[in-house]
Amino acid sequence: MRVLTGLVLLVSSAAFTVPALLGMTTLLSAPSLLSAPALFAAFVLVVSSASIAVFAQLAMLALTRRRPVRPDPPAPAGAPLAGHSEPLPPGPAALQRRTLRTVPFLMAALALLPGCASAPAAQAASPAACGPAARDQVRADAALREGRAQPAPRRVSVPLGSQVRLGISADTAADIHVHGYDLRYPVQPGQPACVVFVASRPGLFDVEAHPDILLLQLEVK
Amino acid sequence: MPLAHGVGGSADLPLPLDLVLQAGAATVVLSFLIAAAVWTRPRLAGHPQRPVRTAGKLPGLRMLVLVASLYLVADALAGPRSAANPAAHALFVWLWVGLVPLSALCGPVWRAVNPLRTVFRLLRLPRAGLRPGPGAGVWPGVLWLLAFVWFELVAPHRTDPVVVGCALLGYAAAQLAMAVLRGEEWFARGDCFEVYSELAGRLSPLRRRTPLSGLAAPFPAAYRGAAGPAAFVAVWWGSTVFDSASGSPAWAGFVQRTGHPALSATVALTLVCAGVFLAVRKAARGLDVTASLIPVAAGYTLAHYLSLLVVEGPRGLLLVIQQWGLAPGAAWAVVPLPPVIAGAQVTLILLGHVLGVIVAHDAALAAGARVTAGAPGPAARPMLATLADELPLVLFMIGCTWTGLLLLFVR
Repeated sequence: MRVLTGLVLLVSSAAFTVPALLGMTTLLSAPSLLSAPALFAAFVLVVSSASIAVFAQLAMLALTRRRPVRPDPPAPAGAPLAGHSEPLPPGPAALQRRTLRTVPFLMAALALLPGCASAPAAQAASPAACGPAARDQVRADAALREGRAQPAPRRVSVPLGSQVRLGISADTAADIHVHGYDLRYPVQPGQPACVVFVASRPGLFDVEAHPDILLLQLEVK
Repeated sequence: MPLAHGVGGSADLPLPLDLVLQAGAATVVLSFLIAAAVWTRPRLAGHPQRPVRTAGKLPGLRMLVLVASLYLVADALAGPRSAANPAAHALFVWLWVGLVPLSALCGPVWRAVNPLRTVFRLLRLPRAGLRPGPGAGVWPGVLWLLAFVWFELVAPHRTDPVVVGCALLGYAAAQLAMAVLRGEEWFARGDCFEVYSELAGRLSPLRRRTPLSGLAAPFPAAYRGAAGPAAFVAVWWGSTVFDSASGSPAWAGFVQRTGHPALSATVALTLVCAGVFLAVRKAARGLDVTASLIPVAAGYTLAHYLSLLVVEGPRGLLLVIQQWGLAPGAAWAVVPLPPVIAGAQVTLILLGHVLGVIVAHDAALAAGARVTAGAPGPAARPMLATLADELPLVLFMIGCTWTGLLLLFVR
């Protein structure tokens, strides 16, 4: 039970790295540090890293603290917060435990480090199916190879109202369906199909090869 | 024309990041404020419950629901086998999604209008059952719910009207047979929609004078213990979580790499539900998380299916009307504004979280009061001890809320 609590706490503290990292990246990409988004990102960063530290510390306590030998008080001891209610045994164990307490803070600091050095993800090479895109067009290409999408299914961000140039190639005959816009058209092997349409509806729309092989998602906003 | 997507999926944009972060921070702050500062004595437990009426003024409504169900099943089996058939809308949108807001508002409505109960009474089947007994409590309902969410989220051809009709007929036959065996009260624990409605109906502000006291009320004795309801809520919440996660490109890529979509989806769905169940049972020693997870699950379900309900619910009604040859050109083409949907989603999740924390905290306080009931003096357990007790619980709920928010963000 104690181990489980500790693990849940650990996972929670790990989950807090996500907002911490996001806050960090927002902070790093903000044009001015005194703008509202930057200040908010800083706030999120502080809150989440503090939470990481607290949660991880509680997890450490839950995982390392032993049950008291004589549980004479019937009050439910053993909650992870109640560390102050029982004196720690003196000696090297206490010292070790005290050093253990600093571990979470170090971990939190380590978890925050990658945010400082995050590089933009490498762009996947997309198969050319559709020719060059015009200036205001958003180009999205995908290929269907042996029943799977190539590159792996991903999300393409499209500004609302812009033209989308969607090129699909396939190694078998397939029906392509753009949800939301209800475009359906066939693709033959060796003959990439190219569709140009205006993204006039906001939303997240699947582009599928029927029955249900997701090729990509269009995020129109 | 291939018949897939009888019910259009929701096309909501993922939640914007700033909203997620604000809401995440708010959950932490609200939880601890409520738990530590605002709510200092138990207020919810011990309020009387009104029994659900299963007869009385409702026969008209019961008949209406029965006729509608019979019509829809017959239409599913004999009607057009295309996207113009409202069967999938009726099952997946009206019943499955619509039951949550309706129950959360009006109480356990499905118990009052369940067409299977009506059939059972009309056929004059033995009300006490041939072999009455408590059986396995609410566990059959849990398994039926798991089967249903598998059908809804994983089963191939699940939007084919004939498949929907056959599934409904099979479900009705199995339920009626079990009810003949166990008596009419089987429906209260074996019919997953009735249990679903009963649990969501505990949120109802109309049925109880003290808001939220329904969540602190003990579960019906027929459920036999707390593990059954916990498993039910776990399947309910876990299936919605799975539905969110399986809409992501990452999941689609994983499934395409492994190559067995139905198998991997089945395994993942079961694992998610089992994981939630273990977390519910083990997160808080001694304290029962089930009641406090109900508002979280309801809020998350509503947030996840909000646009589906708004867009596809009326569209199903329109399909029914158009089958009769009326309103041939009409179309329900409402497109919800993304910011409104996002705001509503965050509000619902946060609301569920706050209610859940309040209920959990109240239960912890009440348990503390019970422990020290024999002790002299008005002072109950020290506040800090209670807080320490419920800390894992609150952390678990924060985790649930974060999970929900992040899932709606990556979706």
